Amino acid sequence: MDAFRLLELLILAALLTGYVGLLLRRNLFLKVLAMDVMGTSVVSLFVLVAARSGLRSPILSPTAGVREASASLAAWADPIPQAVILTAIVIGLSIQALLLVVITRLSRIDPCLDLRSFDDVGGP
Amino acid sequence: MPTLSGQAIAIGWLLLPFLAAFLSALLPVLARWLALLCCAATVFLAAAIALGALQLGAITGEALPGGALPGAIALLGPYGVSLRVDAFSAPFLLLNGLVGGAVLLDGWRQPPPGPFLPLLMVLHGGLNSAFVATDLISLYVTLEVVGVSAFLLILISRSERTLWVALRYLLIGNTVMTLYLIGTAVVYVQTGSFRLEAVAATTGGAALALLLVGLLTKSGLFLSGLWLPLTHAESPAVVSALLSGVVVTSGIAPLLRLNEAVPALHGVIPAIGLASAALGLLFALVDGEVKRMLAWSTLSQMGLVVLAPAVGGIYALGHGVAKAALFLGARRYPARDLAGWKSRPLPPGVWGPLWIASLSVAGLPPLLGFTAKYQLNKAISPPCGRR
Repeated sequence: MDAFRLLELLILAALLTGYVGLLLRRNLFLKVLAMDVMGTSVVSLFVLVAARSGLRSPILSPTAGVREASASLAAWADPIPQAVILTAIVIGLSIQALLLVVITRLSRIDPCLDLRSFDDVGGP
Repeated sequence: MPTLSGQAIAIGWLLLPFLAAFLSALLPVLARWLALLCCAATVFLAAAIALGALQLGAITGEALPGGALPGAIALLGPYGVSLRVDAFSAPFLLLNGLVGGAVLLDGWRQPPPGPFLPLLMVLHGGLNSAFVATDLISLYVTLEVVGVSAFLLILISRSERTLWVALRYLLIGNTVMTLYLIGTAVVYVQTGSFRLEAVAATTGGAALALLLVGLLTKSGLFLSGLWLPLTHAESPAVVSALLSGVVVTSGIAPLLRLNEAVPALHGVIPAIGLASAALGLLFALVDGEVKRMLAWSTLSQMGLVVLAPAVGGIYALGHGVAKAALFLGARRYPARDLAGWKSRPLPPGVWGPLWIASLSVAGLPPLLGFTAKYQLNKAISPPCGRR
């Protein structure tokens, strides 16, 4: 259980690093990268949540007896968070791709991709 | 089995916009008619729910007899998708259909360039799903669909100004949805379920706070909504109408459902709503630029919508239709700066819609805005009287 808590703290640290990077970085590319760090840490959080009851893949094979399966019932991983996070991974990747396309277009206005030069563009 | 057929109708209607979007990408000739079909289907369905609920007086969760739509749909078991096509969602769906139809008819002769119509249909489908979804993961997916399609719609004008606005929109939207996802993970660890009702059973405020940050930012309320007006103001007029009329309510509807399910929120949400209403009003009064002023007014009106969950839907409907009309007219306004309006005449055909929509938002009696405000007043007065 200690390992679980330690991993949880590490994930939280990664999440905060991403969030702080997102807030403080003035370069748009680094902002998107920080957002990806956040996304990845959420994915690992879900994987960790799935592994809290065990690590075995929850598939009952017909060759193994039911008794054997029920003996190791406690060690099975939870499939629900894993299934859910797959969707989030796909969404995260596609959003990342869209943001990078826009950033390539923005780099024609300012190759340094500095936030301040775009705030004027968006302003009155 | 009437319930089954009702369920089939509901699922077919949810899938229709996505299929239509795919088909219109293959056959662009049909795109306008397919989009119109989607909007019409949503309007009809919303009307059917509203009429059915009025006849029976049923509000939530009950399957209506006679081939009518089922209240609650659970797909793929207890962890699967759960939807609720009920009287609560009817005004939101009606709003979605009406604003989508208005935007479509506005550009009927000459649709905006690029893949505007397929994106409109995807946005329409995403919003429909967001209004009826009642589990946290489906909500996450639908809100991301709405976010991405709104982002692509902002980019439709291909001007340099919108690039940065759209990037900011998606960046902020995705970040808050990441926080929302952490909230759902906490809910799952504590309760073992993704249902909205499960949120009430969580201990500690972390899960609730994370979910709220996500939904409040998506719906543009209070401090987390301060970033929205720039987005609404800088987008092309048709997209502003969609964003300010319907897309903001994609966060409101789940927020109201969450408020209904979690008693701990009953004191928090109205306070945030009031603060948002006051803040939006102040900003709207000092802003002299017409589209930005309208966007600030949206912030303030959304604050009023969350005050009373029971009438929130009808209020959002009244506001959304009027605000969409105001934004659609924005292209023909004489000047973007309100100070320049005195010296220039309004083009013919603009003043009528402008007056009616503004008076509806202000709440003049024969208009929908008045009905909404009157019902809101009735809904919130009992607790004030008791004090």
